[in-house]
Amino acid sequence: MKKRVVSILLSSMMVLSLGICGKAEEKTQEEEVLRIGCTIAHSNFNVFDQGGAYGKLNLECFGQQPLIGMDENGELTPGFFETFEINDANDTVVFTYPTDAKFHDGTTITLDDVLFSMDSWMEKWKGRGYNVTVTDSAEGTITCKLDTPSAYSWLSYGAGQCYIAPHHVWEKVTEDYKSYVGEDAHIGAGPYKFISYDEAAQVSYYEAFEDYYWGEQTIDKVELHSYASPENLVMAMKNGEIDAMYTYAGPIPSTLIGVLDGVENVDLGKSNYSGNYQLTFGFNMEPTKDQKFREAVYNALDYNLLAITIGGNEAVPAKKGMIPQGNKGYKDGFPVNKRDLDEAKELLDTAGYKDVDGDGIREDVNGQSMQVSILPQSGKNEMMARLAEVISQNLSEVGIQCVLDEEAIRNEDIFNQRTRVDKNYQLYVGYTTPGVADYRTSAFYILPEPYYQSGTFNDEEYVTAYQELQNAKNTEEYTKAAEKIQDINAEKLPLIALAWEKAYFPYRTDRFEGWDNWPSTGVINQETWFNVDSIK
Amino acid sequence: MERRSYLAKRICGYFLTIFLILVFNFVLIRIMPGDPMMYILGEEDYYDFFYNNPSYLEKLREMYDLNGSVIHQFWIYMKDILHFNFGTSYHYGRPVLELILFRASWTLRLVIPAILISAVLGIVGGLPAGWHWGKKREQCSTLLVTVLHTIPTYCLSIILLSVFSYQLGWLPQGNMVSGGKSGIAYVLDMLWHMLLPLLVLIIYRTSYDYLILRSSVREIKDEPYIITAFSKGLTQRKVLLRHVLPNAFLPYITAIFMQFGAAVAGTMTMEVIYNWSGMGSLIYEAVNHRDFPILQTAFLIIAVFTVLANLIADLIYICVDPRIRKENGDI
Repeated sequence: MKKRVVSILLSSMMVLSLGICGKAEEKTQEEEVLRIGCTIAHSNFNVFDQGGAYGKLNLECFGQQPLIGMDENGELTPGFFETFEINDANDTVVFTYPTDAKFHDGTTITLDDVLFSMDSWMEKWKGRGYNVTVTDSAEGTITCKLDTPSAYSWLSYGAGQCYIAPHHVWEKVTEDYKSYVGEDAHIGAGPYKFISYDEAAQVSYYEAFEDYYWGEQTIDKVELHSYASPENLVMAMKNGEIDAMYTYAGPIPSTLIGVLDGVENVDLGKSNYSGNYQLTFGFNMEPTKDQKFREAVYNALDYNLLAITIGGNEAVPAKKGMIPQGNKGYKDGFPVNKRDLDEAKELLDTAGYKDVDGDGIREDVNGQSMQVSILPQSGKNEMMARLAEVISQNLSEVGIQCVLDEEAIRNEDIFNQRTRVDKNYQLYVGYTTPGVADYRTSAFYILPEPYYQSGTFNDEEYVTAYQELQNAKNTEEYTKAAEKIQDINAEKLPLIALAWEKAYFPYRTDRFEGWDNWPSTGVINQETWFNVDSIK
Repeated sequence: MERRSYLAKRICGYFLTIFLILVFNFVLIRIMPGDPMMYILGEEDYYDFFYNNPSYLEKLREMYDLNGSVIHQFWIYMKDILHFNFGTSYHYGRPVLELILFRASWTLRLVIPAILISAVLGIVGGLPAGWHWGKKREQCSTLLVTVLHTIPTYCLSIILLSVFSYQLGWLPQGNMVSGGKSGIAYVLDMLWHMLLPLLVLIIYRTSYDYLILRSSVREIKDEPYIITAFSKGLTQRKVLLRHVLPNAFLPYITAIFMQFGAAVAGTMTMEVIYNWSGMGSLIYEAVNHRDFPILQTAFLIIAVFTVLANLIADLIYICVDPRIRKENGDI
């Protein structure tokens, strides 16, 4: 009996030591591998699928080569197209590209591939409002024409998010390109090529593409780890499972940053955030179309509380001009949003919204008890609902009864009907993503069709200024138009930016160096693959 | 002959059940709010196309068979099922069957051991507890088991995760394997990852099994045939194993097989908390993304498994319980 127990114990120890040996061996192998964590699930490894972890990381010039690049300040840089020349009318771009660049399968990129790629993205560009036609082409150069003077905007918001794809792979695909799952679906021309995907581990593996044309990669191998939640992601960084995190369209919640604060070899990766939460007014409904009412709301909000709710102690009240500090086109000099309850009450009184029956709730100009509905952008985002509650509470302090539009929060169909078809909302808590902030500004969300489907602010001056922004030929023209938009916003208040946040994109400093933390993007950006190197 | 007719009736009933589930499945998913195209394209692209390029949106809708009448969609749905063509996932862009088989295999790796271990532990604990009903030892163990059974699994999961993973760092914070391992290291790594979710499942299921067996044993412990067995001079151990356990087993078998039937559905909250990529988390993600092809296939497979488990339980009843055989005229 004793012998049996001893032999069981010994064999258990052997099995365990095998496991430990296996682990130790892999640890050595892992030394050269950059491990990136994200909360986006792995879906399809496909050039045209931008929804999964691979698709999102490709936006940072990873497995795919964007047609046009972008630097940390939002300035256009060469991508697959080495040069791009916009004409004076801002409707034609002449591109040149290298004729000896290769795809991951070793084939040379030809004019046929370029024309195929441009053709494949046309519907997407059309969806974004850019009608593009290739008017001229020869090996090494193509010319594109748009039917509106928006070439610069198209390069930023269209071509920069599209890639060069191999025609010989895709010519055989008859279904929607996004759903093609062939083994060659991932083939692109980016600095890293897809090697394999371990579905059980939720990790995908990549290696530097040896024939990459546009630069020399400093990291040999990359792993992309997918986690179920931001909490898991943060803990993985704390435990040293990952070196950096990639969070598309938003940093990790500020409420989680405390977990990493003070952790050895972890840099919090703090920067200004270009996106922001906002309150927009519905201009198809009373009383929100009334300027005095909007100004009263502006004065009634507790911006310090909103800032803390949004981004903890690091967030600050926004300014009346709405575009966050540090963004392209930001104009200084607008007042910081500040609460003034007396001013709010006076504005409401003079506009005729008085509490006649003394029940603490104001009546509208017809003497009816005033009830204003508030709708958070998406029922899934808890922050939107929380902000709606704070705003509701703030407004009740000046006698405005605010009710959450529960029906629309619960049912997405009703939400879409309300916001995009009937457009009969009054107060709408929304969010400007960094992507929109970089190329379109928050104004994009409040303008009526054809700009955005739920926008209702049909102000001629504002629309014209936005058209100028869209049609800007360069950064100077863009900035001038953005400044005009901010002036009008401060004057007419169609939108109130609720707070300006700091963004956190934490990364570890014990295995790699050369990190460059881009504002609102983090250390995983278009330059990472050429700057970050292992610490020898 | 009678036994065959009994089985035939049961199997016909099960086929009818599956057909009704197919119809219900089809209807239920289509009355859910939200346009599936939004989840195929993503909100931004969807609205871009919706406003600026509606013809392309229609073309895509046609490609995904989403623009026909309900009858037409039902016809395609039934035809595809009969051909084992379950379509492509909207969210993952991959064949549904491939996804489901992968996820189900991981769910079963977690749930089957949990059911088996719990079933054994349930017998080990429940049999003496039922036999010693009312004694201090039984009262203490039942109190403990009741407490464990009433703690919601998500609560217990979070507590264990917080202590053993986040605070102590002894166990992984989720996922099924670390990746990049093979052979024995892979197996050990998998066991290391499944330790916490398995523990929670075992705790929950053991307490359930314990309570069922304890009640069954208690009901039969004073039956005349037990007294007879003792009067024949059998030891308590022999009475328990030969007379009490077989008779207390019927409700226990039902409970265990119902667990097997539901096993393929996974344990949604557990899988979400531990990032275990099984059927539960797949269904959770599919609901979030209105991934109709996954939802339909997952529900169908769960239904088939449940029906199969019931069928097996029926067969075991016939073998184990002579009274059922008698009722059907076999003896």
